[in-house]
Amino acid sequence: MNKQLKYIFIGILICLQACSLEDNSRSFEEFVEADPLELMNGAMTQMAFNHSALPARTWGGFMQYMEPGDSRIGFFNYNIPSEYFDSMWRLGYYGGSLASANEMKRLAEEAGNNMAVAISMVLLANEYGNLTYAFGDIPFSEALLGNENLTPSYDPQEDVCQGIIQMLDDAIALIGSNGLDGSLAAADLIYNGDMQLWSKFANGLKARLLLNQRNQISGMESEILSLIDQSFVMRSEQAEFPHSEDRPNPLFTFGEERPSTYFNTEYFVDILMTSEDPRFVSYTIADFPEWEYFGEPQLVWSRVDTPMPILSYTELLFTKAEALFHTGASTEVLETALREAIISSLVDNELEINTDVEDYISAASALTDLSSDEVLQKIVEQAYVSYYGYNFLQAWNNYRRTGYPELEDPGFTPGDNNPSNVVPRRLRYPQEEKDFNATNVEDAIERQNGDLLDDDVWMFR
Amino acid sequence: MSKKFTSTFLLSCMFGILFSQVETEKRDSVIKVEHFANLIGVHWDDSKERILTTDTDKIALGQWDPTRRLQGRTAGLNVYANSYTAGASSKITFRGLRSIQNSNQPLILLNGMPINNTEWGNGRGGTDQSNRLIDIDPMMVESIDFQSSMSARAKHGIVGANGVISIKTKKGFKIKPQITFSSTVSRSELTNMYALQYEYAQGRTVNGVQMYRGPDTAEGSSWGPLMTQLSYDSDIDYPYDVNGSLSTTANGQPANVYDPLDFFTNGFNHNQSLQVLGGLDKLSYLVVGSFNSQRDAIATNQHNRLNLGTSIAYQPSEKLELQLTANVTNSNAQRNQKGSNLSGIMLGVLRTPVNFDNTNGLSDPLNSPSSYILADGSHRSYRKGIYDNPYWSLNRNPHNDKVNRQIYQVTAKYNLLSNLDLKFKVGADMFGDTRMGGIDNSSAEIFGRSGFAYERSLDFDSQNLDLSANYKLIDNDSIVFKASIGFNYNQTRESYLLKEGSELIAENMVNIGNATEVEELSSLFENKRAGGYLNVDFSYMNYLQMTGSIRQDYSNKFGDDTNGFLSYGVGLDFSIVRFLNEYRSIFPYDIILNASYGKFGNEFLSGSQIGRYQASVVSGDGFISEILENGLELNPATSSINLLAESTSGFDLGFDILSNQRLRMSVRYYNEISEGVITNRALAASSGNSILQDNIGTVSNKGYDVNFSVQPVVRKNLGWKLDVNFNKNNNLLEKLNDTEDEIFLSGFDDASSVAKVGSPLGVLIGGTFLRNEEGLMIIGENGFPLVDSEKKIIGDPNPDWTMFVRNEFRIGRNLSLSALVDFKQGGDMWCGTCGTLDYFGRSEISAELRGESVVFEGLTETGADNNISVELAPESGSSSEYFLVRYGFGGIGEMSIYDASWIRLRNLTLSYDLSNIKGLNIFSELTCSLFAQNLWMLTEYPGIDPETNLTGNGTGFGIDYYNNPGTKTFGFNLKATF
Repeated sequence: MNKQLKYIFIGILICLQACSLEDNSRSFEEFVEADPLELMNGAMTQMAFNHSALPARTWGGFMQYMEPGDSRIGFFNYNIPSEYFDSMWRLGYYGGSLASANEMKRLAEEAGNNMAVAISMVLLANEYGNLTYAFGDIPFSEALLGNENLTPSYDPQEDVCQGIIQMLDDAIALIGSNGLDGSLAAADLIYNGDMQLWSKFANGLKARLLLNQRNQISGMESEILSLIDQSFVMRSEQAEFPHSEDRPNPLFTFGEERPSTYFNTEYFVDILMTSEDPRFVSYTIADFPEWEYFGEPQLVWSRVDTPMPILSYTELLFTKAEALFHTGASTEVLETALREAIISSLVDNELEINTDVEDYISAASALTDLSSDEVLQKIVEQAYVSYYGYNFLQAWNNYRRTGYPELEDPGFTPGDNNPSNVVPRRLRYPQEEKDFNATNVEDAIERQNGDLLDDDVWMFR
Repeated sequence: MSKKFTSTFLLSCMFGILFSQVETEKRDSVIKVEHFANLIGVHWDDSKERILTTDTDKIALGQWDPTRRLQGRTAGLNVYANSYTAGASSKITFRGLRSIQNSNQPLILLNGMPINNTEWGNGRGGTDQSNRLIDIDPMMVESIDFQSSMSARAKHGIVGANGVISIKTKKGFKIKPQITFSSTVSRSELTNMYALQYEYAQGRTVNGVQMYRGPDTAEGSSWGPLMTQLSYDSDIDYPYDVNGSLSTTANGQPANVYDPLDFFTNGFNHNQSLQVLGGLDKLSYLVVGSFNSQRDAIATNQHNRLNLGTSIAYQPSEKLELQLTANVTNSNAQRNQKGSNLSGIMLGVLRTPVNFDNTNGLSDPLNSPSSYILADGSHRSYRKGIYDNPYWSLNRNPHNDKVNRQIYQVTAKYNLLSNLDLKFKVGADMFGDTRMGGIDNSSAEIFGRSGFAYERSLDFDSQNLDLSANYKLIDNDSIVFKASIGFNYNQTRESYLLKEGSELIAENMVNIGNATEVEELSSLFENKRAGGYLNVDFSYMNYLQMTGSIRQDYSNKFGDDTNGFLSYGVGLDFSIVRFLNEYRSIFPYDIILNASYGKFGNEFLSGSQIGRYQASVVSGDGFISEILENGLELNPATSSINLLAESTSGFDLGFDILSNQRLRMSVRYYNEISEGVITNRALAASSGNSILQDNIGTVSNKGYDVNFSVQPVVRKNLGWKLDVNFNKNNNLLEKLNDTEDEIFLSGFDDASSVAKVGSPLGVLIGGTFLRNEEGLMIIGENGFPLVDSEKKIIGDPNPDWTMFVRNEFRIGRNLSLSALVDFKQGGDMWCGTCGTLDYFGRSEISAELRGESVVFEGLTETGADNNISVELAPESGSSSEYFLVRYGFGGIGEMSIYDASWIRLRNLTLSYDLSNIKGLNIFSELTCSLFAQNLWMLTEYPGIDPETNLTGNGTGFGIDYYNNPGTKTFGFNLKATF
């Protein structure tokens, strides 16, 4: 009897081995077989949204380009709490562009699509870069692992920066000498598959990062200049997002949906008026007693379909000017570089380069008889004016790094989040991170001696 | 995963082998085994089984939905209709709810094999749906058992959580061919309905001036002048009424008062069944064919079902028994738009003011387009197309579905030895469910946009495999030992294909082919589980029975980092009277104490599945609109790598009192706790996901079941059998995740059914009046109560207790009368329909409030007692200030909460057995019966039959918002066997 039983049980065991308990379930969207290119549109549009929506208005407020009308409370008074950044991380970055770019990279690696891998790396580098400029130490090496690591640790900012540089180098290496990849034309909203431009974009991002961290890591000027040479050589090569009615410029959307919430500051308008800046008409328009950034067709940066630069040619030229400054270049060289940058900015603002603007350009790029500090100040302040509308974050980076322009004391009441009531040096970590990843956030805060708005991140100490 | 399984299985194998060699003590005993089994009427396989129904059961005559045949059968098994339209679903729960995302319904077994009983596509709008148990032909059913004890449920492992309904189909046996024919015809008509007012016309009142505002104004309310003040002018071209248009100054014929409820009709139902069975020495067979057609109170609704079933048993030798069953169903249905749906029938009917005739005076408005379309092609409705004329909706917003189902089973039993048999069962259950329908251009539901058409299909198939070795040892009449070792594998696949067509081109062609854009979506849900089990049953003498089981299950739905789910159970029955053997002659009854304990799990449903991707949405800025992008993004939700089945454990304790068939009583106290209830919790976004599906919650169910059956009178010409079952259950959601204490289950912003920590599952929350800590209302300066800014608990749809009382009388030799009365005490319902009908001035209450003043009891804002008298519908005021209007559309939630308790006569049947009459002896059975279902009801609920749930079998309940109305049925059945 035992023998027979044994045979039966063995038979059952054999059946068992044949049964697979795999799960082939797929929800509606997965039937598209998750082609990495399916995620590319979303990743890029989210990046553009992050670039010009809520984060941009935050930096725009910090850098005193913009200020609220009377109706706004809380946000612009330099006392922003942790809760404010929950959706920025959850929907914008970690749950948005980073998640999409990271997943795209994984799928592209599986599919052997190296060009898509390279593009996703550049996107990741840009987004992580922007996050770390604002938040200092951030989850990086352990981030985006999903349910394999629900509580990622925070990497020190210096490690994040190294990691970003590595990613950009890897991307450039992968791209190699590849040219136009037709299969990416539809998915790649920024460059339609022109891989050499992605390579240039990557070089430009490295240059930006090296400039931003120069207070901690100095002597990289020649590297920066070399990178700029390998980046955009003309304005048409810059990395910009093609906004349209379907993918509206977020600054336009804000103006449309939240009218009379935002205005240009007197401070900024004064700068423009005092120097008779020809870009005045593209930036703002009088609507006494306020200055409107939105509503008229000539206000370039708040039009629905203005292509918003993620990394502009103008910014590279200013970076070049500043790098040349730090190498001790002659005044002539610097004036030429500065002039080039200003001209580029005027072109950004749809102005014709003719005799009308020549006076302004000459005055703005005149560096003779200025002390070293004053030269730097002039360069950075000119960058400040040029970055209006699309590059608030880099303006804020410049400010924290150099101290220029010398912003006004807005006279806010100090708050818990910013006890010394300075122009914010960083953002606080999101409340959701503090709730659900408490240990790691606390470690990061301790390591950086605080996450209040008046605590410095490593890069800008 | 299979490695661990193998080792567990090997262990169980060794266990089994070990047991087979246990020596049992020999003891002297006078009682023989057979005698003992019959005496106490208890089944070996599960001493807690309750026989629920047989085909000859008269209580369920006229009930063709097998789900509803389960009503009132045993304590705690709650079966309630979600709607009374043809083919509409029912919800089965056992004691209370245990799960939020997954199944709350018992496992259904057909001849030991799990079969699908899901409901798909039921929501706040759209149409009613069926649950798949409706495909089974009651004529095929021999008996239904319900396994309720902890130890019994534990044997089913990760699908035993909500109890197990085990259906056994009929088999043939060794007789000459026997033919049974059953024919039923019946008529359904409307039961309860909202009380409407028939005095006031369409319009509004402004500063005391009552203005008639007719259909051309597209205004919705009936706060206008008295109908008696209106008469028709002589405008024969007026499109909205053949008599002309109404005004207070016209001199013509006085206004007609129309009754929108005339829309409802009576439905005719019939069922024909033919059964042939017979058998020879080794082969027996049964074939059943049935056709069923059901209608309800809404003219075009119908559900038609054709069933073919067969069962063949073949016994080639003494050792081998084979059984083959096959069931094939072919059904179709036509359903109306319901619920929160501007094209909904109830909404269109009830909101129509009494000055408007939806039929336009025509005798067949359903088939006469001029009842619902004007000469210029636009809508003919009381509100100029903002709601649909119900005749428009029935014609232009179709929904048809078709289901084809097949269930096949093969069972083989091999008697290896006299005390050891092997069972092999394999089966398949598959169905295709296709729905076609949509909303026509210019229908109210898509006002301003163009219509849509859909073709949605579900392809379901499942396979089941059971292998077991069953050993039985009877030792010298005093010890009976049984052991079973087995393996079960089950897999299901649900494959959905949805074709959604938008931008319909032509009118009156609601069809995918007429759509400009068609989007196709598909998804697949696969559920695979494998389990190995060991069951042991032991009986000592005739007074002690014990049962134990242990089972290990694996599922593809478990997280990657898990090791399977262990279920176990143990049960004990101890007969006091038999134990005290010498006193047996004194006690005519047997008293058995029972206790059981178990731990087991709950089934995963496709609705709880999390996909990896979702459509791309660009957002993150709370101040501006998001951008809908092409392509995909990662779903922020993910599932824990430690995900296991929800686990229910607990004990039941009680006693049975039995006599020789004339009395049977069973009382159980139970205490169940369901842990690891799957829900979602928030994550740190830096992980890439922000929502984690995990085993988080805890729900408890405590209470008691009482089943009582007695035959007080058993005489030659009078018999009386009384069955009572009673359940009281306390359900409590004890814990969710750390940051959330409330989850939306179903409903609306005004009132919703939620999972809220500290309350029973399904509790209703909504807007309430502002109250202080002592519960006194705070009254505003104008004398009206203030509204609380926070939503609070407004009611609980769970009943306090439920009881069914069944009386069967046998009068003379041939006549029998049976009645089933159903008591549900407690359980609130949010009558959203009532609130909106009050708001529009269509309800009877809204007419009665005129001229009434009230002082709201409470405190003023300064703390003093309120004594301001206010008129609820002031004559000199405006309708916008009336009490029923001032709090907004539908009022606030608490204003529409009603007690939905009931006492109802669920079934009344009068049967006459004609087979004894001379000349009719060729019939071995011949009965004719008259029956009535849902004949009478006592309830405070002011609306339709309170046995209703807007969202069908979803977890949330207690919501009535233009649900389809209830019906009662009268019919006649003739059954003959020869």
